[in-house]
Amino acid sequence: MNPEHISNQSTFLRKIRTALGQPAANGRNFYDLFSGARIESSVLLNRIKSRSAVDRKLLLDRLIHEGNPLNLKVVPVPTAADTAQAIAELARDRSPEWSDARSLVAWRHPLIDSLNLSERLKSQGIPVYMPDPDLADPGLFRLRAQTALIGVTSADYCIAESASLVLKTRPGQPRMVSLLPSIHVAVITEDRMIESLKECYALVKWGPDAEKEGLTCCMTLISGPSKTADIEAVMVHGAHGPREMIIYVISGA
Amino acid sequence: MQPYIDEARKAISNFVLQAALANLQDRLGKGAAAAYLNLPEGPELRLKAHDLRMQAINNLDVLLETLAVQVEKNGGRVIFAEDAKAAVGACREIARKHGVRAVVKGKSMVTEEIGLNASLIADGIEVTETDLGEYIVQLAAEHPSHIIAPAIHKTRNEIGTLFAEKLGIPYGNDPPTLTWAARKALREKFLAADMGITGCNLACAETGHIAILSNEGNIRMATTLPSVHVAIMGMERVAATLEDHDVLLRLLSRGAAGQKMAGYVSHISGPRRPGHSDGSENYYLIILDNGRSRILADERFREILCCIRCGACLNVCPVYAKIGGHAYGSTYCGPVGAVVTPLLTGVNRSRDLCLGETLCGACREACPVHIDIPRMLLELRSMLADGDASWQVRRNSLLEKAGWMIWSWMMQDRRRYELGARLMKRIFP
Repeated sequence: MNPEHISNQSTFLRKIRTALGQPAANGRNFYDLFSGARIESSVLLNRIKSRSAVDRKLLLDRLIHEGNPLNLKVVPVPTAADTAQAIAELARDRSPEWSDARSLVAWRHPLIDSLNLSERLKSQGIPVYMPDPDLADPGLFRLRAQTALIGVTSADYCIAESASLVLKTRPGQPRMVSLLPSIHVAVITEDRMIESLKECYALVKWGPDAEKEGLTCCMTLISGPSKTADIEAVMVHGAHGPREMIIYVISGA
Repeated sequence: MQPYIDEARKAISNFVLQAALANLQDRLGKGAAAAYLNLPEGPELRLKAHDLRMQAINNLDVLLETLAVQVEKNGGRVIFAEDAKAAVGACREIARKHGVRAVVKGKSMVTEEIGLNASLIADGIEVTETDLGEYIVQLAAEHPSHIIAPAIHKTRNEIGTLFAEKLGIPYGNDPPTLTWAARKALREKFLAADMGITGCNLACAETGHIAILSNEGNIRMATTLPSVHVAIMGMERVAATLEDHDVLLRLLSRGAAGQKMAGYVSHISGPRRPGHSDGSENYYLIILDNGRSRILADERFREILCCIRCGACLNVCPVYAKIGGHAYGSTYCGPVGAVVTPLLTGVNRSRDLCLGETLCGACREACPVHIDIPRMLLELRSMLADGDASWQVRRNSLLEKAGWMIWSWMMQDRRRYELGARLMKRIFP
């Protein structure tokens, strides 16, 4: 920080303190003022941890119900193989938008890897591209993403009350995969289901991985395909992002 | 202020606009009311949200200091800008430093407030608004007329003609076709841009992230593809904790569009990390005062800083329903604009805005954080009636004031009252 910057900040904050009638911070400290939620959060975390298969099934039903008016398709599938089959059919049936040929981009993620998409789609002549682990040519992957028909991601959580996927950003899991292709497909296991945004924030802030990772540099909530109603209030899907979105929930049953 | 009356008259005689405004209110106004009812905590959550916002505003210095520390810890840069000039200057400086040639913008009221686009364009930078409504308004060289539906005043036929002229596509007036034409044109802009500029719906002090909401995905594009991201926020748009975000983001989505959650919510806490292949490499957060600390200093108006700019009050206001957004003659329209605009730009100058509202209270009932807008409209009117040195407000009319003073003096005594009544009978038999 340069000195000019520091002086801007202190002048700015001094003006606010004067406006508040608080010539100094007066012992007001952020953590004393605003850290009361730990107990409620631990209740939430326990509730999430102790959720039974039946509870999760109810959350899944709620997700399907909430996704419906958002044009967000939620498809429960028994196994990874069924998911791969469904994605292959989707790639066959939909027409490409940004290129003449069909192609997929996908995250590097254990669950996505387990679908064996490259293998599965080879017979259809549809390539599946993943980000290069050592980022040798990042421009190339972006080019792949911007011409792809389908982008395949997983998600950290899936919130039932608002039908929202929660995606953190990590190496090998770029944001553009859920953004640039015409169709966004997310694959999750049923144990990723949570009830509310409140639960999501409790996990991010107090959960087992919170210390290590937190929000990451970008955490995105996605609740359905891209949409706009800016022309005479007529709802149109596919404003900038994907025009179609499907979540496959692997139940493992 | 003649423009207010002229623009209002123009809007009232525009039947197409009247229908559009009625439709907007019917959809969004009722949608928000229904969405508050489906809150698990019930509509009373808005009262809790009001308390959260007031507590944040009352400790704004502490929150902003914490926010700045966290953003810098996450690798971003924070710039405190005391006025529009400083904010625009900082933005131009950043653009120069990174050799920026093309900017894509997400919808941001605050950049309208500081007149950012014109300055960047003057520096030879191409600036593209990417929210579809904002894009339409920019192509037509107009101003937004609604906080979340900027092109509500334009018909599909007008947009069809505009796109045929500016995008070189055959004329059509079908909303999906027009939307997809813009999708194609704007995608090229996103892919070519080297800087994204966005607003900030709500920052979070404890984590140092900013939350930005959209339904179209343009904000995600502008924060994912260009190598520089500049976010600009009014200094009041900060909440303390993630728990507060939970409450406020659910209310914001409901107030704005009757949604349980906006289609996309980006929590941006810094530039990309090592090993990441997208997201900005340089991230700046500009925090703007521009007259807000003056509002903060006045207990009568501090409450308006709780506003999270969802536009819910526009969607229920009987005055906005008739005169539309342009009559307000400023960035902020509707009931919230009728309070904020006079306070930011001069109470005398914008006096018609607060005099024009009805005080019916619909805005207060629609507000997701339950701001008492009618109370502040009355405060402004009282300032206009009596003058106010601290805001450099001249009395509206000395004659009117004298008339009311005489009236009140007469009403306070029976003999004076009867004398007055007899006198009046004599004058107006």
